[in-house]
Order: sequence, then C-alpha cells, then structure tokens
Amino acid sequence: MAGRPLSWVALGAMALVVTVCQPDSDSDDTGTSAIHSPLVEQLLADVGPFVMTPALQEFESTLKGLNQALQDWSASPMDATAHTTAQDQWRTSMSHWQELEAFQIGPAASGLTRIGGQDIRDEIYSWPTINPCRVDQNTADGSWASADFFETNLVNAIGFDAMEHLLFSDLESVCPPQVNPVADGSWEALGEHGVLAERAGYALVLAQEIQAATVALTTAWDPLEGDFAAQLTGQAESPLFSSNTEALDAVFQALFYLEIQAKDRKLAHPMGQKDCTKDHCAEDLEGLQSGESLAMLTANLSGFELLFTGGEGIGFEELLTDLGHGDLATQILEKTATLQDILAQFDGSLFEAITEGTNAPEALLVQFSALTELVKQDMVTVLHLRVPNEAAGDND
Amino acid sequence: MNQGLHQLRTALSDPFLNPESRTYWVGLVVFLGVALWTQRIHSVDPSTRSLRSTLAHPSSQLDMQMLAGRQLMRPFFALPAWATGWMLATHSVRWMDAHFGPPQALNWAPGTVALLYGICLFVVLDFSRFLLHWLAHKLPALWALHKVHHSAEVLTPLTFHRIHPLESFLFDLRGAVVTGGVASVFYFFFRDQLSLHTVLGLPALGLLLNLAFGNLRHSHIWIRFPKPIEKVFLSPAQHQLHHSADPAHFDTNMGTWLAIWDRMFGSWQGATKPPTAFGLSPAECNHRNNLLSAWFGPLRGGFRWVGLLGLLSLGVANAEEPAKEPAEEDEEESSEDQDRYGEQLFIYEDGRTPRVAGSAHQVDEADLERFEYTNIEQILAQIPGISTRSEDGFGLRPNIGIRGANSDRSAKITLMEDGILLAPAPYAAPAAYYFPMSNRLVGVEVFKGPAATRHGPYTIGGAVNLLTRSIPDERSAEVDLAKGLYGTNKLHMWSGAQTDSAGMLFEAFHLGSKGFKELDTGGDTGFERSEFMLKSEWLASVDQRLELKLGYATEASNETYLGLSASDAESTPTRRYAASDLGRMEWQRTQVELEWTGKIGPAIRFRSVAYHHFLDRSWHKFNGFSGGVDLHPLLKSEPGGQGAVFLAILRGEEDSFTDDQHLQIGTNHRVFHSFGLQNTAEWAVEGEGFLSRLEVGLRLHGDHVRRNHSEAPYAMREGELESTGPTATTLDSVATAQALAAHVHEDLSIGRFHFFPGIRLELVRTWRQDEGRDEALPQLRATPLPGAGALVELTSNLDAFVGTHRGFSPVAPGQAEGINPEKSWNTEAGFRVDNAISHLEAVGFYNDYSNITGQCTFSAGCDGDSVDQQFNGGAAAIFGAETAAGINIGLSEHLTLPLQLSYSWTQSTFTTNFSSGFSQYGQVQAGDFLPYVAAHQAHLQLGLQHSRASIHAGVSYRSAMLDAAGPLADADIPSLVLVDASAHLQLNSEWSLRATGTNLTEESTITSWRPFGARPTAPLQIMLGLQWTPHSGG
Repeated sequence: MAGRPLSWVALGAMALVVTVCQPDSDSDDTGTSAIHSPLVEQLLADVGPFVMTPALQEFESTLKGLNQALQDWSASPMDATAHTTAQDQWRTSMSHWQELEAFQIGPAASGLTRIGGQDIRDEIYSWPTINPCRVDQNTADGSWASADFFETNLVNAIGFDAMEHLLFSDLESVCPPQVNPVADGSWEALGEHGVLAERAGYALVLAQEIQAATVALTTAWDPLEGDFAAQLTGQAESPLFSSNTEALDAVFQALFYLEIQAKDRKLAHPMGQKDCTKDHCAEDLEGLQSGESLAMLTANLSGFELLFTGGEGIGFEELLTDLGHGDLATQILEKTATLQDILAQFDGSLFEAITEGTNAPEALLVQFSALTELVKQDMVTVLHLRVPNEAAGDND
Repeated sequence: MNQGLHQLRTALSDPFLNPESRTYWVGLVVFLGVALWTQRIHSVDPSTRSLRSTLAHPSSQLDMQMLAGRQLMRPFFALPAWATGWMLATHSVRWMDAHFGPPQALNWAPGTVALLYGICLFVVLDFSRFLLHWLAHKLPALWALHKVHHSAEVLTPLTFHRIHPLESFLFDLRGAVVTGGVASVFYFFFRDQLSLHTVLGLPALGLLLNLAFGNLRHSHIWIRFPKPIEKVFLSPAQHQLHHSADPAHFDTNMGTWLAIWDRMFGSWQGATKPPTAFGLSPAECNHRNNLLSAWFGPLRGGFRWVGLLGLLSLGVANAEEPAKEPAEEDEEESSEDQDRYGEQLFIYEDGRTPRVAGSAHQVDEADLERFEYTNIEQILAQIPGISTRSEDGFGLRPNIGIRGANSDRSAKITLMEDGILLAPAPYAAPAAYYFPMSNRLVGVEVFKGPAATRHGPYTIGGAVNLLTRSIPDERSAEVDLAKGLYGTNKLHMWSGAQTDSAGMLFEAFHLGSKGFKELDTGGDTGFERSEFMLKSEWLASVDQRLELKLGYATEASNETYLGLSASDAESTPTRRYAASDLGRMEWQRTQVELEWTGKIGPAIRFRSVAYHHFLDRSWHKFNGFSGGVDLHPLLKSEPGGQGAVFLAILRGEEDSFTDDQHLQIGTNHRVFHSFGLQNTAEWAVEGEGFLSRLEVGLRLHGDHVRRNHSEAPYAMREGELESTGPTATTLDSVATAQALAAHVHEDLSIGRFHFFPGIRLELVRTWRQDEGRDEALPQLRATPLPGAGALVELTSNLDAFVGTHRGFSPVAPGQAEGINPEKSWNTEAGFRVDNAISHLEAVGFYNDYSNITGQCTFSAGCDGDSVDQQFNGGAAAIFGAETAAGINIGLSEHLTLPLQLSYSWTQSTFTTNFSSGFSQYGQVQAGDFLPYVAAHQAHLQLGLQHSRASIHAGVSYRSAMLDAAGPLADADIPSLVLVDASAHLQLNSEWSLRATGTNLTEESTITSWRPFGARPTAPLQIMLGLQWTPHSGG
C-alpha cells in the first residue's frame, strides 16, 4: 500500500513543475489581410478592356505588316531591301509586344507560376529561352516547313526571338563545329541564297504562328469567348481565383516584370551584377542582334505605366490614391518618367556601354532599382499583396 | 620542518575539528554523553565491555589506521580543483547564464529560499549517498572496496572513517557534484536573494543530524526510533543492522538519514533486536586487519574484473556452454526478461494482450520473417493508422506518418531503436536519413495513443520502436543468403552466445541491387548497404546487466531527388532522366550505446543508457535549375512554353543555352551527432487489490547537425552533363538542440480497471548559426505533455479503453519568430478481444490540432531559400477508425490457416483558411484534406502453415491521396493495390528455403510526386533465399 500514495505524490510534483512552466501560445500567423476599396473590383474589371485588349489590338495590327514584309522577303531572299523592310517590321511589332510583355496576366503568363497561365506569351516571344543552334538546324534541314513543326518543336526555336536570329544574324551558323548542321556540312551546302531563302521561309511560318497565338490570346480575353476578365472579377462559372485579393495579386505580380526581367535579366545580368560569373555578360543582352535593347526597355516601361495607370480605366494609381497613398502613386509615375528620359537620352548602344565600362548602364540600373523598390516594398506593404517567388529574397 | 608538522597536525586533527566531519568533537561529546546515559556501550559484543577494550580491538585498530592513512594520503586522493562544489557551482552558473540567459527574477524572501535550499540539498545529498552506497553493495568492483568498511567487527565512531581511499574519493566526488549542482540551480534562480557563498554554506540540517545521531550509527548503543519514525528517518540501530554479520540483515538499510530510499528500493528493515555480531565472514573478507592489506586486498578483485572484460572482448562465442539445470534456466529466463527492461516497450499482461495506454501494435519476428521484406514501408503497411510515402522503392529513406502526421522523412514520429532515439539529430534535424534495414529487425512496435507520452519528443503522431536482435541465451547462429531480380543480393548472418556472466552477439547484413530504374545515360541506379552490430553484455549479477552495443552502417546509393513527369511516369515508369546521372548518396554511421539495466530490490527495474550516434552523409544530386524554375509543378503539370524546354533539358533532349537553363548539381554534406543519457525506472508496488507500476524517465539529450551544402552549374550537352563553373557554398550552418525530457507514467490496476495517467515535460533549447549571418538567439521552450488512459476488462477476453494525450513536435532550430510547435489533443477509444487463436482491436480517434506544421525539405519538394523553413498550418482535425484482426484456424494437427486483416479510415482536414509558403499546403480552404494521408488503407494476409512448410499471400490497399492540400476529389496519387506472396520450406533441421515475391500483379502507378516529380511503385521483385541455422551449441 505504501507505494500508491508515493506514486501520486510523484505525479503531483511533476504536475506542479509543469504548471510553473508556461505553455506556448497556440496562435498562428496564417491570417491574410485584404484591402477594402471599391476600386479593387473596378480595377480588376478594367484590366481587360482598358489595358490588355487595346494593347493587343495595336500589336495585332502590326503583325499584318510584318507578315507582308516576310512574304516579300521570302519571295526574294536575296533582295536586301525586302530583308531590311522585314527587319523594320519586326522592330515595329516587337516594340508593341514589349509593352505587352508587362501584361503577363492569366493566359499569357506561365502555367508554372501564375494562376490561369497558358504560356501563350512564350509562343509569341520566349526570350531568354532561345536555342539559336536549334533554329539553325531547323533552317538547314527545312523542318520548319513540315506540317507538325510546331508540335515537334519547343518555344526555344519559334517566336519573335527565333525570328530575330533569322532576320538579323550573319550567315554563319552558331552551332559548334561538332554539331549539325556544321558537322555534316549541310549548313555550308546551303550557301548564301539557301540560308537566306530558308530563313525567310522559316520567319514567315513563325509570323503566322505568332499571329495565331495572338488571336488565341485576344480570344482568351474576349468577353464573348474566354473572358478572362470575368475570372478576375469573380464572375466566371469556374472561378480560378478564390478572392478579389488573389485576383488583384495576379495583376499586381505582372508589375514585377520590371523587377525580374527588365532590371535583373536585361540590365543587371548583362552588366555582370547578377548570375554572371564574368566581368560582364553583355552577350546575353536582349535584342542584341537587332540593336533594340534600349528600345525594348523603353517599351517595357510604357507597358508598366499603362498597367499601373489602368489606361482609360481604373489602375493601381487610382487605387493607391483612394487608399490615401497618392504620393506613392505620384512617386512611381515620376520615376517611370525619369527612366524614360534617361533611356531617351542614352548615348550609343547598351552593349557598347557595358563592354566599354561607361557609367551610363549603372545610372540606368540605379534608377530602375529605385522604381522597382517602390513596387516591391511600398506597394506590397500598402496593398497587403505578395512578392512573387521569383523576386523574393532579392533585396538590393 | 615546522610547516610539515603543522600540516601533519592539521591532517590528523581535521576529522575532529572540522564541523562538517561526522566525528567533529562536539558530536563526539554528544555521543559520549548518550553512551554514559544509556550505559549500554557494550550491548552487542562481550569483547567490547569497556572503552579501552573496544579501542584495543584489532578492528578498531584498523579504523584508526585507515583514518590516519587516509588523512596522510589525502594529497593523492583529494578531489581535483575543478571538482569542488564551489568550482562546479561557479561553472554551472556561468554555463547556464551563457546558454539560457539570466532567468526572470523570482522575488522570494531570502529566508524562504534559504530554507528551501537547505531542504533540497539535504534530500538530494541523502539520496546520492544512498545511491552510491547501494551501488557499493551491488556492483562487485565497488563491493570489493566497500568490504573494508563492512569488515569492522566492532563499531565505533571512527569506523565511519574506515573507508577505502578509492571509495572515499567517490563519496567526495559525489558530495561535490551534488552540492555544486543544487547550489548552482538555486543561485541561478535566486541570485538576488542569495550569494553563492551563502548557498554553499547551508547544509545545516545534515550537520545538525550528524551532531545528534551521526556517531551513534557506528556504535554498539542500540537506539531505535518508534517504527513510524523509522519509516521516515533511519535510526542508529537500523544502521547497526546494516553492519550485522547475519545474512538476514545483508544489504538492508543503506540510507543515511531518510528511510524513503530504502523503502523504494526494497531494502528497509526495522530495528527489532540488536545483531549478535558485526562484520564479514572469513570467506567474504578480502583483507586482513591491517592497513596495507585493507588498501591493496580489495584491488585484487579489480584486477580480475579488468581481466574479465578483456576475456569478454576476445569473444565469448567460443566459450563452452555449461550445462544447466532446468530450474536454473527458468530463473535465467526470468531475469533475462527483467534485464531487458526498456528495450522492448510493449507490456504484455498474459503474453498476448498488449496492456498499454491506448492503441499499440507489434510486428514480431515471425511476422517479419514471413515475407522477409527488405522495405520497412511494406512491413508498416500491415499496421493500421500508418501512412508511408514511397520514394526510392527500396525503403532506404522511408517516409512514415502516423494518423495524419506529415510523413516527410519520418520526422514527425518518435523513431527509436531498442527504446533509444534513432534519428540522426532527433531535435535539431529529425529527418531520418538513416533507417536500419528491416531484415535485421526482430520486431517493430508502434504506439499511437497516450503511451506515446513515454516516448517523446514527437507525440503528435506516435512512436515507432525498432527492435534489434538480443544476445541469445545459448550459442546460436544463422546465415541467410538470397538473390533476386535487378541484381539484388542479400547476405544476413549473426552469431551469438551467452555464458553465466557474459554474452556476445555479432550481426552483419548486406543488401545490394543494381536498381530497377533505367538512367537515360545507361548509368547504375543501384545501391549497396551494409550494417554491422556487436552487442556484448556482462551479467554482473542476477539483477544487474551491462551491455555495450556498437553499430556501424554504410550506404552508397545512386539515388536522386529527381522523379519523372506525368507522361513519362505513365509510359516509362522506371526511367531516370539524364539530369539525375550524377546522383549519389553516401553515408556512414556509428553507434555506441552503453546500457545498464537491472533491478533494485524486488520492486524497481531500471534502465540507463548512454548513447552516441554519428552520421556523416553526402548526397550529390541535381537540385534545380539556375533560373529557379519550380521543379514540382514543372514535372507535374508538364506545361508548354519555356517549361517544356526545361523539361526537355532534364531529359537530355535539349541543351542548356542560357544561364537560367544550367543545372545546379551539388553536394549536401551533413554531419550529425546525437548523444545523451536516457534513464527509466519502473517501481512496481502490489497490494491488496491493486498493482501500481510507476515509470519515471529522464533523458538528457544533445544533438546537432552541420550542414555544408555546395553547388556547381552544369550544362546539358547532347544528353550529358558538363561542368560549366566553379563550386560555390550555398549553406554552411550548424543547428543545435539541447533537451531535457522527463516523464512520469503510472500504470495502476485496481481489479478490472487500469489507469494510465502520465505526463511528459520537454525542455528544449535550440539555436542555429549560419555562416555569414548574425548569430541567432537561442530559443528555449518548455512544453508539458500530459496524457491519460483507462482500460477496463469487460470480460476475461474483452477490454475497452479510452485515452487522450497532448500531441507535440518541437520547432526546429533557427525558425522565424511566430513559428510555433505542432500541437494537438489526441483522443481515442476502442476495444480489444483476444483469445488463444484470434484477436480483434477497433479504435476510433480524434486528433484536434491547434497548429499543424509543415517543414520544407528537399525531400518534401522544396528548394532554394525555403529549405529547412517551418510553416504554421493552423488548425486541423484528423479523425478516423482503425481495426486489426487475426485468427489462426487449425485445419489439422500440423496445418493452420493464419488470417490477418487491418483497416484504417482517416479523415484529415484543415479547419481554417490560410496561405502558406509550404508547397504541400499552398492556398488552403477550411475543409481541405491533408496531403499524403489516405482515407482508406487495408491489408489482408492469408497463409497456410505446416510445421515443415508454409505459404502466405498479402494484399495491401491504399486509396487515392493528395499531393498538396485540397479537396479529396482532386486526389492526384492514384489508389494502389499490391499483392505479395512468400513460400517457406524447411529442408531439414538446419536448412530451409524461402521464396518471396512482391508486387506480383506488376502494379505500376505513381506513389508520390515528391521530392521532384513522379515516383513509381517498385516493380515485381522475386527473391530466392537459403537459410542455415546450425544446431544450437554446434
């Protein structure tokens, strides 16, 4: 009998000890905050008709000219004028597309990282994912003309970036000597005419596919067809977004194109300041062959501005103002204008500036950082939105 | 010269002038006063009729010699400077300040603190004296020394000093450790009220008792207390009984002041009548009555003891087995069961029915041998409530979850081997990168209910205890060779023996395979695993056993984290992409455990294990793309656009052109240490109508992991990997955890009712230091984990039980503020029916999580900065029902038909909306199901068993599961049915053949989407084996 009371004494003592030890709080941090403004719904409703659709229509209109120019060049591959005209038309179309680059929302965006993403953007322009050697291989073997070409090829051999290679690169193949078409001599066998003829034909096929992808993108936003705008506003039958906040987040993340692509990939990386193990990686510049690097950045800024202001509709500018942060909106627009001025006054090409080590690229990068920090820090804080994974953990 | 004389005088007078000495002159005056008052100074031995004759007795002469000798030799046997109470207290306080920071001030009155300190010190000192004294009687080596004290035939106050110098040293050391320890704890918490000097100068109660009664203990003055008082305080007379030459009094009353210790250890004896003589029998005595003999005589036994250890290490397996009488065998068997206390955690009431608090299951050796599974996942499929996520198909690194607890790397369950924590760093990095090969296990125990509180820290899901082979009672051995498809070969051998006093077991296991996957580059996808275990034991006495367990294991496997895309998993499930070509895991593990088990008296069993585990692993593998593309959705959704290009690069179909497309391949090198001292003791008290088993456990544990991760870019060129840049360190960090875990678990049986209250306290301190980052502040958390269960025997075969306990898994080191431990209240109720041929258990459970957590690991499909991050997952409810049944149908005298069935139904849902960065959670809506928890799992096993042969077939079913939280309708891991079979033929008494087949229907489906991409089921495997079990003793 003696053991029983002692057992309980021991248990009681243990209980006393643990009573003194305060248990941890069970609170969790899983709650999310939503912003409350009637303009949120309006902004989501206006993205389609006032930002996406007008820009797409303008871009689509340029494709007709590109298509015609490529037909002409295809008919006369050795005709330098036709070749130059095709190049100019490419620049025009590309300028419009670079505005649309900032609108990677829903169908245009990556299926991997964005809700509703259908990767249509990559079908039109997949930079920096391009395999110029694959383009040369397709050029040499004429596979671009086959019926299943677009089923058997990936985006690294199609789109505007592949077309840039076809239109602007010199006559040598970029493939290494041990790889076809250099290794088997098929490139050499084409000769100048063959190369240009195959390239022109290939470019024309690409332009037609770009046209088709653009139509697909337009259709995806068309209120009578895909009506992605209805997804943003929560009116769709099978909603992709669980809340207005999540939909707003999807639109907001498109603004990060300026941070992830324009600033980091198009500037910091070529300058050797990001993911580059050499002094610089200027050879990785976008639009290097066409000499459009700066123009592309300028167009990206225009697209950013359009999405931020909402065009004729409601954009983040009005939303911030409505929430009492008009000064932040003003700052963002002022810095955008400043950047556009710097780009307009940039002397020479970006490639030369980087390789020659001038200060101009650094000044440009600083200004880009100043603008993107406002988006990444201030806007995120004010709107309770999230930084996309690709841009997280990358404070300058 | 004068100084020398002074030192001599000081040394010889110190025992009489030092107030802390038992023979302080004031105490001697008291003793003489009492002696004169009682006039019974010569009550025992006629030869001690006067003080003169007493002091002239050879025994007393030796007392004086020993006292003088000890005092003179003190410079040689004095404690080192660091081992004084003062130094230990000072260093302890500094250490605690540095690691825990100064505690919050407790503004207690100084007088209260001093009183509390005095009581604590008195109790702890008294217990430590008892414990060491008890050991001195129980351990032969110490008993040889202690005999010097017990050889006294005449007791005088000077007999107190008749102590062998080595024993004296041990007692001094004990006193310093205990005083320093208690003083440091008090000073740490009450430094504002007390100075260290003050607390060290307060052993007041002990001094008072010394003065009053101390010298009477070693005397012939028979002073006893009233019996109720003797049950609390030992009387001088009781200590005289302790010195009695009568065997009936041997090993009794080993305490100093408090009687509670003797009562707990079963050695208390009341003072009824004086002993007739003191001392040892001539046969027992190891010295004569002179100083040199008393000093060196006891050491002769010590030399023999050292020699015995040497003999043991040379291999007892070659020793001849002495013939045993049947009765002796029974007795040994009985003591064997008791000595194994703590390794095997199941408690059996009658050999069949588990008597544990709540649901518990065991797969025994016969079950394990039935299919000779090499994959632990296949074994656990037989147990309801356990979910596994297959990864490599061999179970090299199993992912085990219990009742919805996340299965990733088995990090949410308490994994043990023979009752000792098994994970590489159970607190700092519990992911089970090492897991013993299941073929060398002899049992698997699973605890899911309140019994889990005995086995923390992960009580959230439960505990899995893997049992290794014990040293056999008689000389025996076994060799098992098997060969199978995919170049699989297995060698398993063990041999062991035991003599009366020692035993040894050696076990070796090897499993190798060329692998069933096909690399695009044609490389090897197999592995080689070898494990060795050596156990040696020393049976110190019937009740005492020391065991040394040494383990070494190593693995080299061409394993990868990269799985397949959905379409490739469908068309070529055993394919491995070119990007995984360099994948290779290599590790080595060492294990050292020193275990002391035994009994203290008839009522107490204890187990104390000091352990150290070391694991050094390097996993060279593909981690991701330089551009940071998320591999999990890439492989799962197979998108178009750029995603398709990245996928083509993984397959080796496209070359890497841009930096983003380079593959990051690196080595995650981690070194783990896990060490500690685990103590458990069970005190059984049986009275009229009740049986109480009180288990108390204390584990002091430390572990840490050094992570050194590096990566280098590779480009895919023409289907092969080509290095393109230098290797860079991506992570260099050390995560450390220190834990003090204590538990009390009562098993109280009153008639047909059994109650299992228990509580566990986990005090965990963690910190993490990343190279190049500011030192993170340590986090200290104290978590009480109560639990209680009850069982009622409704009939002799039918039990009903109910239980609840606090579920818990600690926060990993270095987590952000606001990340909380995983906590739940787990409740269950069920019943068991058990008879000679069948059993049935059915349990319903409800686990109410207040915070479920997810941990990002590479194996969970995370990469980049998110690796090692923990995420709160909010509230969740996991409930369900489990049942297990079995029957042995006797078809004839030699033929039986065993049938086993288990089924579990689990509903696991989040109960709050939240957004998480943990990829297995993501955007969660209330009502979403947890990932990788199947709603239905079942296992059916049917056999036909003859004494010479047997065949068995098993069917396992698992319903569809989610790869990430969501509605169950979105389950993207298909249901799975696996059919296995085995046949066994006993050729003769020594040789047998075995054939096993797994996945006989060649089921091919996706079993997991993690770490990166689809993992296929292991294909059909057929193994043929030959087993040789030589005759015992042959």
